[in-house]
Amino acid sequence: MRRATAWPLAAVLLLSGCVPASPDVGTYDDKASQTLGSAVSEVRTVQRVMETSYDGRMLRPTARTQMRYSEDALDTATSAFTELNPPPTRDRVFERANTLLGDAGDLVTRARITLERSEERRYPGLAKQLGRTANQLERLEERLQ
Amino acid sequence: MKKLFAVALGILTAIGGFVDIGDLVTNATVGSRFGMSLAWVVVVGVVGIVVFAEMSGRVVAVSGRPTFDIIRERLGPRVGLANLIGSMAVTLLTFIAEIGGVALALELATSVWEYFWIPFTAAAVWLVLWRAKFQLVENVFGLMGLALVVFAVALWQLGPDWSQMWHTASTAAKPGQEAWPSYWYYAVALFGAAMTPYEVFFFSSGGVEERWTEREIPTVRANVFIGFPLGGLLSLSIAGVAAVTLFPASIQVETLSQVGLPVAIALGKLGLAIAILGFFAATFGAAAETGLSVGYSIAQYFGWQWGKFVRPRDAARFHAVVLLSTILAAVVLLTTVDPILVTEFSVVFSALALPLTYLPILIVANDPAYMGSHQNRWLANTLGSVYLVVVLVASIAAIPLMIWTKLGTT
Repeated sequence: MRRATAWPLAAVLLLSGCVPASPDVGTYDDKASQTLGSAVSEVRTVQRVMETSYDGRMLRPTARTQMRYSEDALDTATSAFTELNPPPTRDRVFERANTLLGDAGDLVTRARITLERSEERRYPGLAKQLGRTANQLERLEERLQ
Repeated sequence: MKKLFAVALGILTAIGGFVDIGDLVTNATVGSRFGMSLAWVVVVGVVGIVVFAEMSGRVVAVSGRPTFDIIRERLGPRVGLANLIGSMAVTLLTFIAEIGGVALALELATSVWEYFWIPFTAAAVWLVLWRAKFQLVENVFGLMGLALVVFAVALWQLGPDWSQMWHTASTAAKPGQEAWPSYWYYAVALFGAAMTPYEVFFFSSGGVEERWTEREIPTVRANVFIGFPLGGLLSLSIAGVAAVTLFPASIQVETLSQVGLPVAIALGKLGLAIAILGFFAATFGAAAETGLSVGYSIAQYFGWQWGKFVRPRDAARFHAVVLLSTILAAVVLLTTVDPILVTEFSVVFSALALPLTYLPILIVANDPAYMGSHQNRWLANTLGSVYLVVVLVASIAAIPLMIWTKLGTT
């Protein structure tokens, strides 16, 4: 009998680990702020890579490598954030952060493609857009701290 | 003249060989997140490694035997085994991280995926350890590692506000957005990176390989007292350029390319190319040193013939350990584990293993039966005892801080 109840309980516990977390407001703010911090870091890195590439100061293989890492890291951060269930009072933060993270992801992908095609005249414009998005992400991050 | 050349070469290789993947990643991470507020830890770590490297070098020069061998004889097989397990596990972890570091450096130079390079890197490291002469391993990579001086040049070129940097470093002021547990976690990691146990194993076993005698003690001291602090300045330069360029932009270092980014900003393509050469030399040299250190520590504990001063056939078990460790390192890295993550673990676990490495050295260096008139004087004992307290505190705090801060991410 004990065995009969232990297995379903273990299965429930195991499955609960696979369900998106529903943290309280404080924990949610902490996690959201951390994710936004990581995103700011990656977006600004890509911005610097575009700027130094435009100035002819960056090696192409290094730039390509960093683009790949930043894109992956941004994807991971975005997934980690969207998988969290926001508390009802944080719906607006969730939507805003989601939009910004999506924009950041699109921009980094565009930067990667532009760099791959060596379309140098587009580097400054993209760097500027990346800078703006990083600033918006940073402001949201500061609001959550 | 020949003597002067030997001293100069020793100092230069000590500088170039001081920095490894742990120092590169940890110093850049700390600079990008905490500015120069943790510079004091590098100073504390460098003084610590100088104190114990001089002690172990003196032990080798006087006794003609490596420190590990004497530890087992002097303190018995049980203490020797604890020392072996703790220190070797960390050295093996560091070996894995260094091979990963070489692959990352090659990836930066070619943009070819790092995991492609791992089997080739492991094979090259093993070939060097098997075939190359000890002096070649030590001198070539040590001298090539001097390419990392480019970080000091980049810092000068960036023209930071030196007084502000000094103020942040001297007041150890934590940036407001960072939490104290993370500050202390990185302090422990930086300390572990500076005092990595393999540096002492390699230094003392290398002394036997080069057949040091009492006459070499002044040369050993010159290498340690001049070479290591100058190597520490390289570490500070890496943190410095990150503090000047990445910290204001809220860029947190997660990759080796981010470590080199400030050099590209300051010096352009040529500077970055030199930095990547420095990454390669520093990590390859450290991979060779850690690979040998794993072989040294096991062979010395079991009393096998060891070292590169004998033919590989005469030290077959030593070379078998080195080969197996290299294969293990490649297999672990090919599971696609992140080499930077392995590096972070290696520096924290280094801090954990520090007392197991440094307490026995202090005991042996005080034993007149081995040291005769060269046993520790009051200054070495005072510094050694103070540092034992520091390494004990770092060792106790390492794991709780790692868990509490989730590897410094909170």
